[in-house]
Amino acid sequence: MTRFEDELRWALQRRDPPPGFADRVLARLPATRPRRFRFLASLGRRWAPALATVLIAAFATGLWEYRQVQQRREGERAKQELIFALQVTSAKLQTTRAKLLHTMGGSL
Amino acid sequence: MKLTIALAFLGAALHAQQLDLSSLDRLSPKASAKAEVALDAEKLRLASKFLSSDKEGDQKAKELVAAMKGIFVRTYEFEKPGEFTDADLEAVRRQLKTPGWSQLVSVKDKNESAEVYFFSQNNQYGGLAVIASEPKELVVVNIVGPVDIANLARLAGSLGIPEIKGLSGGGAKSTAPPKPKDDDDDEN
Repeated sequence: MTRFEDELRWALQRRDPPPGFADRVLARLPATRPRRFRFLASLGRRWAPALATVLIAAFATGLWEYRQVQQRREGERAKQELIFALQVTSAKLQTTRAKLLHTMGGSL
Repeated sequence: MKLTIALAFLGAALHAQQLDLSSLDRLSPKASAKAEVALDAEKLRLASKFLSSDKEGDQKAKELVAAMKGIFVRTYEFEKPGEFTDADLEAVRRQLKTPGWSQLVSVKDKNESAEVYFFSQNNQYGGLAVIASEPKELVVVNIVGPVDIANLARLAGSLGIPEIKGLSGGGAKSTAPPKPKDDDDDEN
């Protein structure tokens, strides 16, 4: 056998780990979650689709209500502008007629 | 095809009824107070929805607006007279000389003047323009679409419009002979 084969056999032979090795490995592992957190996580996974649906519905409802409020504001503003325009037009037609009557001596 | 042509004529007529008031923009910086209203057909429909059927004034306004296609108003108030001249109104008056527009009334009284024009095409009445000027105030109104002038004048007393004493509400009434009265006649 060659020297290489001897060295390989020596490297691969089974050996017992040094004392405390298992404890050191376990200490490095991430801590497992307590039972109650595992429960909450499973609860979240089960209810996540429903929660997402509720949130989306709430957002859509809020957006719809916002648009309703915006349209109401625009409508009220348009109404005020319309009333103003009709007030001005009617008043000017009246004064025009009054001037015409005055110019023509009070009768048509 | 006929529908397309009819719609094209309608569009052209509506376009002719609506005046371009942008030439009055240069009066804005000189005005101490101004108001501009531009309500096209869509905004008129929206505004009409918010008019109450329970209030008399709102109801009258709703009836007036039902057939309108637009209402455009410009009002300017100035600190002192002479801030605007006839030249400022020339661009608007030029449009009122185009086919379809006819002058209904033109009144001048000292430094005040008022002109009323109406638009008609193919024996269809639709469109009104008013230019009223005083030394320190200018008002220009353009209504697109059919409007009942008599009903417009009858708004007096509602919608916050003061009623001028001695004026009846409608044109037809004014041509009727006066009724005999016992009290003094103090119309003038």
